[in-house]
Amino acid sequence: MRTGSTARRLMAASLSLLLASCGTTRYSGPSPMDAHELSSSVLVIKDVWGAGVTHSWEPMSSFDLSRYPSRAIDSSLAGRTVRVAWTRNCEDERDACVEMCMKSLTGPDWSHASKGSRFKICDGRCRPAYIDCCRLREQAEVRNFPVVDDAVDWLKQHRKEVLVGTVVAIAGVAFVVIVVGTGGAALILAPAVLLVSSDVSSELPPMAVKP
Amino acid sequence: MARDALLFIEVTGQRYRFEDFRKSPGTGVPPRAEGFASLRERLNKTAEFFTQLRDEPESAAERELIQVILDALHFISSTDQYSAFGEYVAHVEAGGPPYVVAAFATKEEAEAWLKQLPQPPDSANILIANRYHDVVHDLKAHVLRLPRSRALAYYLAELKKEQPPSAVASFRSLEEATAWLQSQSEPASWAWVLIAGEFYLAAYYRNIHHRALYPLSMSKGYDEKSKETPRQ
Repeated sequence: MRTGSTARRLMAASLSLLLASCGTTRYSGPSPMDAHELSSSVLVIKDVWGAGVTHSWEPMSSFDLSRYPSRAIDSSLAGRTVRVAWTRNCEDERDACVEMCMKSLTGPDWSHASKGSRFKICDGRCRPAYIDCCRLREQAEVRNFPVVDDAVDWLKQHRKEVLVGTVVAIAGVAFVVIVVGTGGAALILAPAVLLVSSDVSSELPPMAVKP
Repeated sequence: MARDALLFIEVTGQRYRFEDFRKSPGTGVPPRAEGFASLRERLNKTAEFFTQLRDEPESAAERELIQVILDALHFISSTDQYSAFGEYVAHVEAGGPPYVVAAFATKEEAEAWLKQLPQPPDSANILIANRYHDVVHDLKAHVLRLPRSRALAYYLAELKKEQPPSAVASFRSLEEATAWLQSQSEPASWAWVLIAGEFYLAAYYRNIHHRALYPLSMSKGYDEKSKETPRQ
């Protein structure tokens, strides 16, 4: 349900971008100042040879998505979006790992072991898998950054791990990763807020809907 | 003593501090003269033994491992942790429950404590509302979590087998037992008690002056099912 609606919103976002791409002037302005400005801007992060990772905020109205191969907007989008759904429980996996390990450390060889030492060994053995699970979970979680600069820094740092469809909340505005690693851009994020209007009618109470 | 020294560093969450120490020894506090004479003697004797062992030609292959043990002993003495180490050794030798470095009433309190630490501990146990949790802190993966720990359940299962419950005191209610435990100035690190006909472990963590009561039923399902040769 949630996935379907996200996919629909992404689809709508992409269409809006395509429609908005008629303008030809290019503009790389400073960071947007408020939520209104944010929600009509696109964030582009690039790997530039010799200059490291750069970013720019571009107004929706002049953004030309057609310059980027639009793999992200084709019909496989829904499939890609599913990949960010997180279903693992790292804590349960860790408990199961320790339990299995404890069972393997039984028998006469272990009868001399001091109290708690088997648990320590198993805890240590299961630790790397747990940390790995936590790391992946954090990547899949909806990221929330109250400060714009923190979001940009995090996205630059994790540009190679972020998946299409990942939602990042920047200063209260939800952004969706729509392009990853194509056409010279490492990442492109578009605000999801614009798209709410496309399926808002189903969420409004009946009395608010005007004929 | 060598194993205790290494475990002490681990259970008190000082893994990263110890790693830093190994990179630049001599940064610690110089050892103080007062107290803990016999423990220091034991530490020194252990260090002497391992220094000899390290310098024997036949232990070339193990030299690096022996050096870790020597560094651990040196770490404890040069960071002036005799008192904490002594408490830890006493707790372990008495067969007390898994060591904890702090106890909190709520998860929020525990998180607030973690946040104000310059270097959060790693792989130390803490209690949140008397439930065991791990501090999992991985610098490389930027992971800092407080997952629940099953350490106590496994401990209770082992203890039940080694020291079959025989209560030192019996109470009608949990409140009564709690009052009894609180009234003692220096309880044993662990003791079996009966509360309303059920066995509980009365635990005392001397290092943080914390007392707790754990029902033995927590160990249910954590008993070792030995399929191999039965033990005596």
